[in-house]
Amino acid sequence: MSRAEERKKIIQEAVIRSQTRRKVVDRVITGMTIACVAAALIPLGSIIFEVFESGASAIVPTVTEFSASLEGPNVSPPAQKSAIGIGTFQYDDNHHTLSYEIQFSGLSSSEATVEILGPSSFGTEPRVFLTVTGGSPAVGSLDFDKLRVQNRAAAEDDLFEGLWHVNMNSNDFPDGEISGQILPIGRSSNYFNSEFLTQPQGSIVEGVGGIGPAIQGTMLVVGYASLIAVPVGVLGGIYLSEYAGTGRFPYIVRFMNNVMTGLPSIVVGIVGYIVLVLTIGSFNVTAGALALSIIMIPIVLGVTEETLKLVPNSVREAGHSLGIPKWRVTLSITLTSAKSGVLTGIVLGISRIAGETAPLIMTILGTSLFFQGFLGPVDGLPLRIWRLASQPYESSHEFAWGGALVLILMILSMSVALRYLVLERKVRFAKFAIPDMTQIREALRRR
Amino acid sequence: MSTELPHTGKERKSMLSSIFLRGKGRGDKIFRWVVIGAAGYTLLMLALVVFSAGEGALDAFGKEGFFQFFGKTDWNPVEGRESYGALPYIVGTLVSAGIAMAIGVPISLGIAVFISEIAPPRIGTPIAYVVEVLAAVPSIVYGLWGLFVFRFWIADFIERPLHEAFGGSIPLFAQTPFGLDVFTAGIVLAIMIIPIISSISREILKAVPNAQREAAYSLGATRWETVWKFVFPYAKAGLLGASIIGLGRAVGETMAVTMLIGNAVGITAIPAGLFDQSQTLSSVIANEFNEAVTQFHISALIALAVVLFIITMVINIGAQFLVSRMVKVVPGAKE
Repeated sequence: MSRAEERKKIIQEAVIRSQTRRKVVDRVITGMTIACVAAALIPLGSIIFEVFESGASAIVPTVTEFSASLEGPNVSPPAQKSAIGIGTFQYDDNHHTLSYEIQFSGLSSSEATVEILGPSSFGTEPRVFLTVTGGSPAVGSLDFDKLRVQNRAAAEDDLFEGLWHVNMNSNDFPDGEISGQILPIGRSSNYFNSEFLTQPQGSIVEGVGGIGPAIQGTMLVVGYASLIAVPVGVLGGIYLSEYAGTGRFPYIVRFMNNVMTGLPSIVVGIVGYIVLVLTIGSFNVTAGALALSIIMIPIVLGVTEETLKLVPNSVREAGHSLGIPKWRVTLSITLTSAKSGVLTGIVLGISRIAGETAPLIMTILGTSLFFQGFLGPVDGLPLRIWRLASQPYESSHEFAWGGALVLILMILSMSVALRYLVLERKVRFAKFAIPDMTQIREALRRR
Repeated sequence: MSTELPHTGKERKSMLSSIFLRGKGRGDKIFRWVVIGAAGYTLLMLALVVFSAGEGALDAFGKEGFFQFFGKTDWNPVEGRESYGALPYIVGTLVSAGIAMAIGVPISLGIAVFISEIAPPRIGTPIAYVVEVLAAVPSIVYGLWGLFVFRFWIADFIERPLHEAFGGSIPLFAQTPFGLDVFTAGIVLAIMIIPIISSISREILKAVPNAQREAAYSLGATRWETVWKFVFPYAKAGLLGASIIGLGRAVGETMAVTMLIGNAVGITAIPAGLFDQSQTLSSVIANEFNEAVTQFHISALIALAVVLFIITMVINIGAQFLVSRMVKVVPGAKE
């Protein structure tokens, strides 16, 4: 082998080696980018799962049914056989209550004491959860939240595994005349907890009531804020796209508008506090709406401007050639043909402010009452979620998850409604080119 | 109209326009002023933010001194012994935002590269959409999830092993991990800024001309070399701007941080390690605003908002200049 061939071979080998190494590096990098995507998707999956899983139990709680047949031979020492009892139980997941109805007959006395007992293990006395004396039927409920909190989950587990008993003591048999196991029937019936969506909050410890005022308050504040922000944002967008040239004023507006999108929401809340809360002397809904509108305006304005710029000039010229004044052309032709983009911007803005919490702290304060008038505090859903999550009770945490689910469903349903009710129909009857968000992005990319 | 047509062209023109445009100019004029008014209203609102924050903070700045307020570390709202300083919260804000950036920026760039350079559009587009869904989740829900779910993951799988392995030797891990600390808050912040940074970075990477990539491939560069040595340098300014927009969001974020950072007060809010409780500018406002009794206390909280405002303004204006050089961002669309 000549020297030249040898050299060639060495070089070839080196090239192949470096190429394989580079290929390995390439694969590793590809794998790392995929890991990055996974790192973003895992939290998202977990959030969605938790919100829907934990939130659903507040809105659609589960009721599990149990039954017990009480008989004499179950008691030790075995008692008389003629006495019999039938118990039906329902466990409500939301309120953590076990309601019972026990009918009995043939006992040695007409009145008896009902005892609901926990699991009995060898050598220890079962825990007595309830003792009630009365005639047949014995009806009532047992509140699990009144048990010590850390014991609730364990008590639930025992109940669902069929380890609980019900005992009936009468005068002649103080240690029990009839007894039976509380067994799950295995049939769970769901019911829609309308109380959660419509009622004000009751006792936090017992987990009764709902988040009605918060839902009402959020709709009120967000609607009020949109009432301010939509006209201002759309008209401002019209100004920047149709009327402004390249002067200093439009430049400042555009720049400050971009800066305003990055304004921390808690700073915005101070405007509401200083301008309206302090002057009126009370936390009020107008202050909240003012603060939220400041967050919403730049979003609506920016999207409106970008969308209007995508409307082809020939559309405007067609209007002008008919002698229509510019304002009519702008409102009835340009804006109408860009309607879907503008609506997308509005929905974007509303879904952004619907989840804002920080400005509400210093403007509407939050209350457990329904709307009391324009001069008093109102409640907001994000605010209520925050307050509920700060409570040390498990039932209030469940309420917070339920509130989060309602909030997310509100935001989600709005964009779904936009997509399927407004945008689809518009596309079908479109006369002009209708820019939507993908087209806006395309245009931005080209720029 | 029996009058003869005027003879000069100018007169003819004015007559014609008066026939066609009779009474139509007025509507135009009004509408013009209406839209200018709407544009001016947005400026007015920004001015109102500046004015009301300044007005509210005047009391605190007057009593503490503007620059002393930035440097003081104590925070005592007890009436009669009131004394307020912003330094611990500025440190807490920057540390939590720094952790968020350290974790969020590489992941966001990875996502952006995956979507725009590696994955075929069939896979990339739905992933881009799903990542943007992350941005639609309200921050209070992140806080709720962080408080009841994520905190235990972090404490059990990351913080405790790190603390047990390095707690004795590295002071950064010395604190007993509890889950509610500056580290957890930073990670949740990172998750929150990922969709913003990654979507802007994606737009910027797409703005890089294809000739740049083709030139690299024609030289025999691998995909990694193409991205790292040809695409990234070209998009440097834009990617930096995207990260800074993310930083602005992380600094101003309130609710999720308030629920996770542990809410230390005063000098203890300066975190001694990763697993130490802290407090940010926005979280101390959210925590104490409704409990503030004295005028001075409220004013001090508003003064913190002024500090936050100044920080975010500097960050945002810088980012605006950097990003607008590469690509113009639709406000709100990518948040």
